[in-house]
Amino acid sequence: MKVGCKVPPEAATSIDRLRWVVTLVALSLMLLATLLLTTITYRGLDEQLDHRIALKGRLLTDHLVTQFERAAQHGIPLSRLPDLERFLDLARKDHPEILYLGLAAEGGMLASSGTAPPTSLAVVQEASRQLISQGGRPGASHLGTEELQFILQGVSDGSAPVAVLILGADELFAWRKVEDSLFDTLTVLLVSLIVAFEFVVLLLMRPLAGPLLTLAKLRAAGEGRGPPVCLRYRARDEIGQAVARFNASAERLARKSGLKLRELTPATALDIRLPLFLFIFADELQKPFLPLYANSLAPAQSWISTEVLISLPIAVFMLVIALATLWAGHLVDRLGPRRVLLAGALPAAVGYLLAAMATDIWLLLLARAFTGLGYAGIVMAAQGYVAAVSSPEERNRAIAVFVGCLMAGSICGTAIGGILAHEAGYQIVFLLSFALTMATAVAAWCLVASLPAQARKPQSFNFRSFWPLFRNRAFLILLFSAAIPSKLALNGIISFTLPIYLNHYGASAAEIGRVILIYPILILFLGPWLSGLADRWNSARFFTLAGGLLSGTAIILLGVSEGIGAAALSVVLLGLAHAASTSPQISMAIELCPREVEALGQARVLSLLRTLERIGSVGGPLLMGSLIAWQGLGSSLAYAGVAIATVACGLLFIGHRRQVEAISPSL
Amino acid sequence: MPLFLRVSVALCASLAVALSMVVTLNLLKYDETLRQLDHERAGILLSTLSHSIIIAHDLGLPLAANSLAEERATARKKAQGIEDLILFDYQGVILDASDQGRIGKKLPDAWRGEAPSALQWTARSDGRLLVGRRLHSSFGEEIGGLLAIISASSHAGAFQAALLRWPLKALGILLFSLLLSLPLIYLLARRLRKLVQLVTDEASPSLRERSS
Repeated sequence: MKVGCKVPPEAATSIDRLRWVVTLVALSLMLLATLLLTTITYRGLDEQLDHRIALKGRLLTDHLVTQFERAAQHGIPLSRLPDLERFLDLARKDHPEILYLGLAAEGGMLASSGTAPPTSLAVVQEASRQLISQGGRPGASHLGTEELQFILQGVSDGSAPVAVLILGADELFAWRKVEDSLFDTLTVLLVSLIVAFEFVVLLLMRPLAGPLLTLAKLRAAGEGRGPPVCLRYRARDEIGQAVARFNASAERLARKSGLKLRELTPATALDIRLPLFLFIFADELQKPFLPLYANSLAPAQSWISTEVLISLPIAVFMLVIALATLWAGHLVDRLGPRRVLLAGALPAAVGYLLAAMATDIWLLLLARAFTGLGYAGIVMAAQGYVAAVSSPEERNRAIAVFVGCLMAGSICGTAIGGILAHEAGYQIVFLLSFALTMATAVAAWCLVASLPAQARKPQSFNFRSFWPLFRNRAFLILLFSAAIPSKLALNGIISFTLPIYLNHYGASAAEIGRVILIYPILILFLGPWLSGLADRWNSARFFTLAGGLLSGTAIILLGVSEGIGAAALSVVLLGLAHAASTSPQISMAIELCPREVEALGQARVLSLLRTLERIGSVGGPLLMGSLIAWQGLGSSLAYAGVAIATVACGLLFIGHRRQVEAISPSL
Repeated sequence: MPLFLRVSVALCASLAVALSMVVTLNLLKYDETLRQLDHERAGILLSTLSHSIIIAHDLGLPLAANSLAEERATARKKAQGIEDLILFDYQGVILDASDQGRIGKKLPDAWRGEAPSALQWTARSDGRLLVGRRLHSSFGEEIGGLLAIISASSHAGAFQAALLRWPLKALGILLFSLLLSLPLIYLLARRLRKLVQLVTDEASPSLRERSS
């Protein structure tokens, strides 16, 4: 439903303020509850782990004592055993909770590995001396200090103890386990906050922004003109009662005046938020590990190199989206967003199920193609719905809801997908995506309104009508110097190469997810601010050029450096680069094609730019896969970075040409 | 749904999601830690056993002549959950196992680990954890291997207790937090009600004017 008037500003501001207050309250409660839960969990964990570490410690001391005794029983003095410290180092190497290992004789320590507080050491050395002087073969005895739990076991030469093996296990091991999962807990909290925000939107903001604001808008529109209107909304709350009162007045008026009562469905852009969020969440779950999963399914020998083969799932997904988007747009116009949304969930769900069951890479490709089909349908339907239910004055705000929802889903999916893949395996993640896609369909069924025919305006897509744009050199430079390289960096580097790179340096799927997560967070929080700066300073071209150069530098840095820290820094730079350059690209396209915008309309010019930039999305993973197969990981990243920075310099030529154009008429 | 209930449900749902995710994460980490400790314990046990077997082999005792019956009994005492200890030759043929039916058969491929060069490996089969160790003679020649089968229930007790206790604690915390936030929920609901009133009071006059 569109009511062609502005929302009363005081009502919109109050609703916005309320949304933030409720979200902040939810955040405070979540922090408090998580802190409490972590403390309580730690206590239970500590008891259980202490017992198991003691069991393991006894087994390790048994094992080492057996070996020392073998030497002692053969008459070899323990003090003359070669490389004793190295032997203890090796014994401790695979056991992170064993902080200290030492062999003490009556005269003092023979060798030790690791560290222990001097006060504790003095105590255990004294205990060792007593054990040896007591005679007989003592069993294992335990000695607890604040930092370490010691196990002491005598080493006998067959008749009497000659030494004592001291093992110090970390008393704070359980706490260190809690510390290890700190990043995971913070990630879960971030996701919870976003989910909380979605709950607030669904349960509070949607009824406020839908029926309540429609009432306010009807008033602002001056309901004195035209037939009386009633709202299709039933609820037993205060809003439902207000709507009922309004409808009763409208019915009375209709009866009195003899005019036909018009019924409106109070649809808003917020209706689409939950289904879209759930679907993007489902789809982004695979992001931290898809190339790694593809690698595990790739055949040992194939006519295509493994690197190219594992880039195919992303490339095929992007290609299907690019092709299906055009078709899905028509379908949304013909059938309406709700039906397309529901229909789109089917191939997407089938795709996730197939991906979970994939036994080879070809089945995974088929799965990703199905998901791409569903993705195109769902995203186009959501976009169509947002456009249909918002008035021109609200369009920007509604699109912000759409983009915000995409970013929120992306953050949650990437974060949780990595953790879940690390803890439960890749297949479980795809099964969760399947379940979330089903939930998307249910949410769409319950929340998304079936729009009347007049709300949909079919538009035909005629490629020939775009021909003038292909003759605009400035538009082509923008496309090949900025738009396509941006997508190439996003899909070729962040989605494809980064998981391979991080896995190469030993990062887990959870760590890969956390590094990738930096990108959408920067885009979400810095994107609006940087594009605002570009608008204010009227320097879209500078921001686009700087973004391209920074993007290239970030990729070169990734290629020449090593490790997880370097990868995180590169993602920060890439995020900054794209946050600075994505929106200015749109301003540039409009600025560079004034005649085409006038002839075709701004939306169609931008839609062509968005369609063509997908060349980078499809080609990025394929190009990087081929480069890696040919030149190796580091060199291919360096080459890609240099190429992106170099093509970005092409933007300098636009300025030169436009100056010439500006001068020529006066000549 | 009255506005008070709406605010309560929104906060309750948010909290429930956060707590359930943290509990799930903790349970997964706990399970992983317990498995890791089981695996390391079995590794120590296999290392001790392999020393004796290699020395015996170097002294001329054929691998097939080794019996692990005594070690198996000791292992079950020292490392909880060890279901079986298997000795196999370099071709993977089982030489000794507590299940006599397995002797003479080849070790399933899934039990032999993915990296053929690794000294020690782990695998999973039918929910059980398998920890294997290759045996090399003092001359560096691979002579066979040892495999410990750890039952799925080795840490089931501890894990199931956590599975029951931790969500209950989370539920308690959820209720406590909600009780704590009741005054806030009341205030928020009141503000919302005022907002609804403000908008609807402004919405009706035009109709009232027209009806009159």
